[in-house]
Amino acid sequence: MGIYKIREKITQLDKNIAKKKIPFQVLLELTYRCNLRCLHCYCVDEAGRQELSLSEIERVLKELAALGCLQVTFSGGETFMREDFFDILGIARKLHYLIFIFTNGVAVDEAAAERIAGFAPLGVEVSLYGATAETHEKITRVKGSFQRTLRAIKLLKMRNVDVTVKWPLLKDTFSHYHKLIELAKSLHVEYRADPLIFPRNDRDPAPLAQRLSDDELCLAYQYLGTSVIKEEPARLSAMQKPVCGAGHDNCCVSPYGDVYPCVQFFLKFGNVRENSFHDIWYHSQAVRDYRKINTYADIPDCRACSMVADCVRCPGLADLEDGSYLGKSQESCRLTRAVIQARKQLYKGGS
Amino acid sequence: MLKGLLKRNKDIAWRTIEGTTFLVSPFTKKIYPLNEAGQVIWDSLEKETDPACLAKILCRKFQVDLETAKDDTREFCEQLLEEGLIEAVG
Repeated sequence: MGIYKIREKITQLDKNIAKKKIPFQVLLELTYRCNLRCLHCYCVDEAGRQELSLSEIERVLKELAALGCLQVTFSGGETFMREDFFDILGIARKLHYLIFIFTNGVAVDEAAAERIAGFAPLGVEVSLYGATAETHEKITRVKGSFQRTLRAIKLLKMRNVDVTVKWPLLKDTFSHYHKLIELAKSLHVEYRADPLIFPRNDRDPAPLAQRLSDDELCLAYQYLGTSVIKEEPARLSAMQKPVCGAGHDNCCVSPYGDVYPCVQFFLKFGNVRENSFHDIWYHSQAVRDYRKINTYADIPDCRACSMVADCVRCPGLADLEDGSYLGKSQESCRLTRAVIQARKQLYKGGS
Repeated sequence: MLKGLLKRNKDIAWRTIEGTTFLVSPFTKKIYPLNEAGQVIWDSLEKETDPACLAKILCRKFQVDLETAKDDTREFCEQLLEEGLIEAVG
C-alpha cells in the first residue's frame, strides 16, 4: 500500500483530522549524504550544518506523536548513511509509528534486510533507474550499484517486506521505461514512476536536463496505463479542488531540523532546534500565511483554468521555478497537459 | 474460550487522534478504529492482561454486568487476535 493511502483513509474516517491540521504524516530527511551520485538528485549536503542527533530526532518524534502523527517516512540522501539508522527505527517502533523507508538499497545486505524486516515497516521504496546495470549506473554513476539494489529488493521480498520500486522519468533512461516495468513485474513488486524533476535544493537547474519532452511525457503516462490515468477525472471545480496537502496534514523535517511543507518546497515554517514542533506547526507566521491557500480558488492564476480537474500542481515547483507558491507552476501545467493528452490516447484507442 | 494472558503486538501502529484510537497493521494494511470500549481494552493491554481482568475493567468503566462484559471482551479480543493486533502470551 502506498504511503499516502493510510492518510487518505483515516481522513475519510475522521474529517476533523484534516480540519484541525493534525500533522498526520511526516517525512524525516535524516541526511543529505549519499553513497550514489545520481544525475537528477536535488539534495545538497550543507557543509557546516549539523544533522539532527539521535536524541533530537527522538524528541521530534515524541512531539509529533503527541500531536497525532502516525506515519513517519525516513528518507535522505540515503537513509543508511546514518550510522544510527537502526536506533532511529527502534525509536519509531517504540512510539508505535507506521514506518516507511526510502532507500537506494545499496547498503542493504542480508543482515540489514533482516533488521529492517524486524521493525515491520509498512513498506520500503527502493530507487531503481534501469533494467540493466548499464542504464541504472548511467544515472547513479556508481559501478556495481545496480546489482546491490537488486539484491536489496530480493532480500526484503524474501522477508515479506512490502517493496515498491520507484524511478523518476528521466530523459537518459526513457527508452528503457517499458523494460523497467517488466523488471518490476518479474520481481513481483509494485512500481511507481515520478514525472517531477526538481532543481537542486540550491536552485541549481542541472537536473532539469533530464526532464522529458512533452511527447515523451504523454507516452510515459500511457505506459502507466488505465490503472493510473482514469477515464474521467473527478469533476471538481476550483472551489472544490483542494491544493496539495503538504503543510496541512503532513510535512517534512530536514536533516538540520528545518520544517517545510514538503521535501521540495522550501517555505520554512521553523526549525525544531529553535522552537517546539507544536509552536512551529500551529503558531508560526509562515504557517498561518501558507494555510490561507486551501483550494484552487485561492490561487488567482489557477482559479479559472480549464484544466483544474486534472491539475497536478506542485506548490514547491511554483516556488522554486516560477518565483511564488501563490502562482502557477509552468512545469505542473505541462504535466497536466500530458495527462490529458495521454487520457485521450488511452481511451480512444490511440497508439 | 480465551485463556491465559494477552498483550499487544508490538509492531502494530496506533495513535489516538481527536478522541478516536486508530490501529494500523503493517501486515494486513488495514485500519481499525476503536470505539470507546475498544479503546479501554487496548489501553489495558499495554501490559500483559488476562480476559477476566479486562472484563472487570469494562464492568467498572461502563456500569455493565459482568456476564455482558465477559461476552464483549471475549468477542473483541478474539477479533483482535484474528487480525494479529494482539498476541496470546505463553
